[in-house]
Amino acid sequence: MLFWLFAAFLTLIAALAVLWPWLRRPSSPQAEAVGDLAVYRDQLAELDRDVARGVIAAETATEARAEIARRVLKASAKAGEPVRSARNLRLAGVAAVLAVPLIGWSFYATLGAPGLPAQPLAERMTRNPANNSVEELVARAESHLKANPDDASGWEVIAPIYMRIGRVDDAIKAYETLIRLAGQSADREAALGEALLTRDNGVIGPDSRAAFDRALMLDSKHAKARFFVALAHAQAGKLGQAKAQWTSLIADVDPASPWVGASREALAQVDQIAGGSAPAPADKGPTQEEVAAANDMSAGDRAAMIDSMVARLDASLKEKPGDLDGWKKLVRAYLVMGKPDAARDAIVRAEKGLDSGRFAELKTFARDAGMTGLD
Amino acid sequence: MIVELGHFALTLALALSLVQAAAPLAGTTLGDHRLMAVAGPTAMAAFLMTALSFAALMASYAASDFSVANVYANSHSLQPMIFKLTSVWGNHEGSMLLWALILTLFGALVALFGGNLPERLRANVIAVQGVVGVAFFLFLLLTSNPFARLDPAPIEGEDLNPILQDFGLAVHPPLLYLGYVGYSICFAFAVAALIDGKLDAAWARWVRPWTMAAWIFLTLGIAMGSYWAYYELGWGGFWFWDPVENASFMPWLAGTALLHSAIVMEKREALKIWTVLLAIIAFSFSLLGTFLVRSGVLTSVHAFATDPARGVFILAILVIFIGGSLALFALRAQTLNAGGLFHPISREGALVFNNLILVTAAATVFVGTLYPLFLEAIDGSKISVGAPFFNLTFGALAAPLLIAVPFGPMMAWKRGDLFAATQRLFAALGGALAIGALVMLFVDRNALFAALGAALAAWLLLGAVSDLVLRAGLSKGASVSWSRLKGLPNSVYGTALGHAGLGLTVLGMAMTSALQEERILAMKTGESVEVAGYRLDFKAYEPTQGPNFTEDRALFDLTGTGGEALGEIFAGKRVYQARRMPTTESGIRTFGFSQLYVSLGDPQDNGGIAVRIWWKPFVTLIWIGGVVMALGGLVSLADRRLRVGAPAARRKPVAVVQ
Repeated sequence: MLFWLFAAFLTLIAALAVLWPWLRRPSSPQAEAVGDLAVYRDQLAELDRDVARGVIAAETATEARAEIARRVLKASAKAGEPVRSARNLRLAGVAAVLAVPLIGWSFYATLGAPGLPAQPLAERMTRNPANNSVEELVARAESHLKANPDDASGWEVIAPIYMRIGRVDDAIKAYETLIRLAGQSADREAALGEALLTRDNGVIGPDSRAAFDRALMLDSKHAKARFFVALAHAQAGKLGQAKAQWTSLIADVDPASPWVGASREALAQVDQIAGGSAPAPADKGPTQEEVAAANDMSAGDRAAMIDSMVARLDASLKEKPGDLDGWKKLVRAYLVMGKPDAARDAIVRAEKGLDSGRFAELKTFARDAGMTGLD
Repeated sequence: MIVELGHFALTLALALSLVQAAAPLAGTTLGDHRLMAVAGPTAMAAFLMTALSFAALMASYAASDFSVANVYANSHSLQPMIFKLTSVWGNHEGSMLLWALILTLFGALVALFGGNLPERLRANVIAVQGVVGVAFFLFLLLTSNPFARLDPAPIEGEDLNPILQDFGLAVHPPLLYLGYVGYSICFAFAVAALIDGKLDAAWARWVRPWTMAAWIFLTLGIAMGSYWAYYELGWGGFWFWDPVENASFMPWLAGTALLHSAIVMEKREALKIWTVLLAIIAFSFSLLGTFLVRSGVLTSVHAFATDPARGVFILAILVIFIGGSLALFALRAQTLNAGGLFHPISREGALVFNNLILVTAAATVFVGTLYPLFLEAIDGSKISVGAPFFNLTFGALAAPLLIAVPFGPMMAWKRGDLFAATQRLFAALGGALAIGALVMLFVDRNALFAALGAALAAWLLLGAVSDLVLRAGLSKGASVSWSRLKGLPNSVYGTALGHAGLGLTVLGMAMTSALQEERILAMKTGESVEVAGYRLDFKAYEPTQGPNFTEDRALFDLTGTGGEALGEIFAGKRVYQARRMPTTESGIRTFGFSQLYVSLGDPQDNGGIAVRIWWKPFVTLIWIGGVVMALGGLVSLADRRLRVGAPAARRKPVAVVQ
């Protein structure tokens, strides 16, 4: 509304400017040659001043004066000519005044977006988080971390989000910072290893291998680290060693763990390689192409991609309701996407699939991730 | 809301420009005073609306409002505020809005200060200015709208081209545009005169200061752009004969010619028709420059975006304005009276000589710039016309002009005496030859070019001084001379400064080109290198963090010729995060007028890094000369006197040619 008021005000100013000559009394029309005569008179006066200052010699001045006098004579001959009479063209004036709003508004009506509010960044950052998009939330977290670079819990929250939205390099930096600030843990080192191998197109290089090894030093039973170390062996061609490690992993961990399924698939693939029918296994996380694609996407497409990833996760949890890590990811994803209701719904559904201890762990996790109103 | 108000104000500015173009023209045709009087207030309102629009865009940049497509595409939330603001014109749409802003500003100035202009001339001038405005507002709104919106708004912008993230962007484009667009006023005066078929005495009075003002801005803009390219691009050169540079140089050459012919016109009412034609040519070159840069025909730093629709639109503007005004010229030129007579050896004759050479030089640059484009359009072959062509042709044209410069102010109006002028320049000539010989003997025996350049520069400088000294009258005693020197009009000082500035620029170019020293080598930390007696010790290579970039800095300890420590000098390579684009930051240390210039290349396999070091003697004079020239223009502009050319009395009968 305010916009239209201002717009109308601007239009009024513009129209008044055009109308101006009709609002005041016309000045008496001046003969055309009179202006020329005035210039020449000024020139003669200037010449006298120059002579007085001694800038030019008297004889040169005389010559110049003669020349100006010739110009004056020519101009005075014309000065007698009558000024053309002015007609009063009211209609032309009305058309000129009306042209301003008509042209202005019709152009604006086609090109403008009057309903779209301005969105200064600072204001977007202070809005209610529930109304922010994932990108805005990430940007908020980033500006928070820029101001508080030592906030370990901030890095802990943002690192997996970076992984999820495909900003792998940022995820690696976040995990490294987190480990530096909050110390090592098997989970953190394994997550760092996973980020590093995602960056390397699923190939486990020396740095990601070192991260998994550090994770296993801290917790020799860590499922993710064990899985990827086995994968590293497989990629190095030591298929026997890889098979043995995956087999013992399946035997060791909770059968509901996602790593059991992943290990089974890996084993099947290894068997195929042994039969010579498939390439060496690679990590099943998002490939570099997918990550690159996510980076190239527009904001809308990226949001759609995240939505579909989350929907896939949601659907898989309906089949495997005992997957605590999966539930955690889902709850975190919904919170990040600004859908706390969906997160709450997920927690209610998780209660049926999880035992009470693991459900309590999920609730604690959700609370730490910023979920409110639990219980 | 601010963004949309800006957009709305822009559409109003278009509407006002249409009225500004149509109503006064109708007024002068029908003889209606009220319709003619519409010109003034409408021009001021159009400026007000454009200024609001520009302010709205600037506010959006300052607030990082990424819902504006232009802001999203050309800025980043982490940029320092100064670069957020300069980003406004660091892109195609914003720079065209700046163009329109300056155009309407000049229209408003004519309306505001043009009270003493004859009514019809004033109405026609503002109307022509309005026609130009309509073309550019339509161009903005239809092909390059800076207020296009994005919904949903992205969270981070794509950042400005890193090369443009420099203080140079704050200065160079506005100055250049003030120059380019300043010629639009001269153009409007020329076309207005042609429309009415008469040249008033006030015409000349008005055109000269406008030409001068535009010329000052253009000179400063080009000098600034040249210095910016010198320190930012890391090539160590000051002029590359790049098509975009040429695009700004052509209007400068034509404008310099116009400046000189406007003097003749004001003082002697001669060369009227030629001046009208030059005014049209100067603005045509400005438009051509805009076309070359903005249409994407040329690939360079300046071509922000390429879009065929824009190219066609600008081409249409070009054809309509240049073709239209030249057609009008052909139609009306006979009806203008030719004005004063003069002898070929006279001040006027010297200025005609200047004009002929400058226009030929502009034509040469024009051919060299457009020939490759033309050839590519015909048979698709890509050739590049580079420095050798321009140095040869342009140099050959410029040399006689530079030699002739000191003669000009020595000549009397209407009929002069070449022999007497030469006699008066004897001291300057002797000094110039002596300096050339000194350079040859003591600086470098093989540098003929440096010696010639130095002699030519000295000739220009001493010629300018001789002019002042002779006017003061040396023989009449110190106190008389002093009072006469003080009494000299500003325009005399302006001329002397302008010509001396030219001399300084020539000196800088000749010395740098002929005597610079260059070292290119791979260096590791701990190594040292010696250039022109200065020693650089590569001390460290370390990363630093800027607001929106990371930079690897090479630090050198600098030791002077006498072994004295001169502190540090550092050069860097930056990578801007958003665009992942590297830039070089050269390290420059100034000693007097000379500079030591360090620039980094690529890292080498053996762990070293490529380093280029130049010693550039007197290099800063190139730009100081430009500033002195502009200063001369300013001094001359401050001279509010009317100009009367006092012709010399006829001593003996001579044949007068027309």
